[in-house]
Amino acid sequence: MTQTPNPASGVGMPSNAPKVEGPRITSAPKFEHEEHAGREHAPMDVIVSTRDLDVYYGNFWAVRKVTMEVPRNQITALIGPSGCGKTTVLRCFNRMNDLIPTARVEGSVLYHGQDLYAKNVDPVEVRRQVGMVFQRPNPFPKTIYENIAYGPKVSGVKYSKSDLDDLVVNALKGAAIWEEVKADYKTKSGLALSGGQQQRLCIARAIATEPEIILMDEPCSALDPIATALIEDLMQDLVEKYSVIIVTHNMQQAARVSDRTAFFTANLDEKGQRFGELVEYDVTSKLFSNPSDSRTEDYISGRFG
Amino acid sequence: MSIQAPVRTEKGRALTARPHENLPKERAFRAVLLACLIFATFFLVVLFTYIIVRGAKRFDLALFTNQFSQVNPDTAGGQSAILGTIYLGLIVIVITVPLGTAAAVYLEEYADKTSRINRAIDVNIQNLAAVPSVVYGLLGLGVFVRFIFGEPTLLVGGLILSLLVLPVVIIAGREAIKAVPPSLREGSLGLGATRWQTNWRMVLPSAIPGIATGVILAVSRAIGEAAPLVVIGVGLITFNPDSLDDRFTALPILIFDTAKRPQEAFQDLSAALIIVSLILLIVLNGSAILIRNKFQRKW
Repeated sequence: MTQTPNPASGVGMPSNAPKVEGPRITSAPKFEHEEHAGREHAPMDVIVSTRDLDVYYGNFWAVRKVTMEVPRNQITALIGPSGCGKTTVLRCFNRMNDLIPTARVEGSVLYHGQDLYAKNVDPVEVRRQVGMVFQRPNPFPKTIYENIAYGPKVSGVKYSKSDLDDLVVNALKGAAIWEEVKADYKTKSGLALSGGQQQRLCIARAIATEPEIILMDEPCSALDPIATALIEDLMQDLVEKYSVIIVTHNMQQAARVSDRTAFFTANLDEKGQRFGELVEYDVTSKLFSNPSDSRTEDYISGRFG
Repeated sequence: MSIQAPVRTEKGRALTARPHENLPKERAFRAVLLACLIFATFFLVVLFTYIIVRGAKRFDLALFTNQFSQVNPDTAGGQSAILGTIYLGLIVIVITVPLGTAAAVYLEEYADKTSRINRAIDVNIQNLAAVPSVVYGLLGLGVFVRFIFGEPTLLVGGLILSLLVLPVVIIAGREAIKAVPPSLREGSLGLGATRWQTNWRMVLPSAIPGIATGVILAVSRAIGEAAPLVVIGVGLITFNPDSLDDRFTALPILIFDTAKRPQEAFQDLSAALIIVSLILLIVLNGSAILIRNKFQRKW
């Protein structure tokens, strides 16, 4: 397998391909990067990309000039210190930023050649194709079944009872929670589950709408290590069918699960205003072992952030 | 009484001092609070006892089956008034539930909270809730009776009482909607639900207990009102209203009328009618509690 140099790839994409196969040379041994069947070295098939993405909250220019390409069927991690705009960028991929009245986005987010921020694009349609899992598990106060069936029911597609049943079961299986809930998923409230189960329920809920991309906003930050490990394993299964973009402030998690990592940081502009920018975006193993930017190196070696 | 200073050690205070709840000041304060509670409930209990004792002998079937009579106070009832009050309550529910809920959803979910017009509306709803009920009666007299319907019909009474309590319903509805966690809305919108679907399928069902409680408390207030009905000219009528266009009477009107008559028999009748009124209130408040418990959701 060889890495195809991709001239169109985003900021900080190095031209020197990392060594493929063979043991990885890591300068920081605690970031033991797993091989994900070499996914990250496959030719990059871009599913969604941003070009000169700017996000404003009112007059505050929060995120500046982000250009990156997100590969299909891979896990892309967005990392960086607090206030660096990583969640803001994530929320551009399904137009969740629209819900904040003062937010404004410039530049473009291209998905299948369409700009998600074009005038004729319906954000509701975008969110049906780009699912999202939130920081804190937020099951609806309904049964597990109704939680999963919610997305299909609001999609406008008419499902027969048995199709809906199949969809729910498959989603629960897909999110590796079926075994735990199969006895009473039709009667038990989603709120009666443990935190980790709730988060997997939310993942199941997201995949029930059959999206192409799943966005995860620090999905494990409210969970214990065991629940976290389950979700990280699940992500490796999900990525076979979906493209996953995950925001995490846990560098080890990014190193463990992701194929590519984008490192954001907060900066001060000449007027003293804080803003977030993309510093470096690369194959995860490369970014953690041999970053091209000194700020990335400082961050991953724990010198700031 | 002096409080013994706690012994201090090098590292910190001794933990063996007298528990704070037992200090005289704490006890005195608790006693004052309790006295306030007793003061407030004492008069209520006296009132209830007096009414029940007075009304018990007239609290009979005749109260519900007979109409009011000026000549036979011992067998007179208040059927038309009881029915009138029940109808008024139903009209108020039918009018205020959709109007109040819709207004609350708009104000919480759609209105731009920074715009001046919406802020003005916001403040004025709070003000309207505090407008004396007699003023609503004047509004009803001037607009509904004089210009639209011509006489104080059941519909006019229901409309006026609805207007009177609508601000309360809107405010309660807004609070209930505000209490729905934003994470539920985000979750719903994130799954590709529209604003309408999110409000209809997620926000409103979660807000039902709060909205229902607000509506029922508002209805309780509405059916206890006499002033606006007096102003629009609702009098004593001894036939039951058959339609919205019929003239009617209501419990507070009949209670007011009987209570001011000098004969003891009328006053006993008045007390019995007050008991009916109280029972209606208790049933309404009880159902508010039941609805709240039934739909209570945790998140």
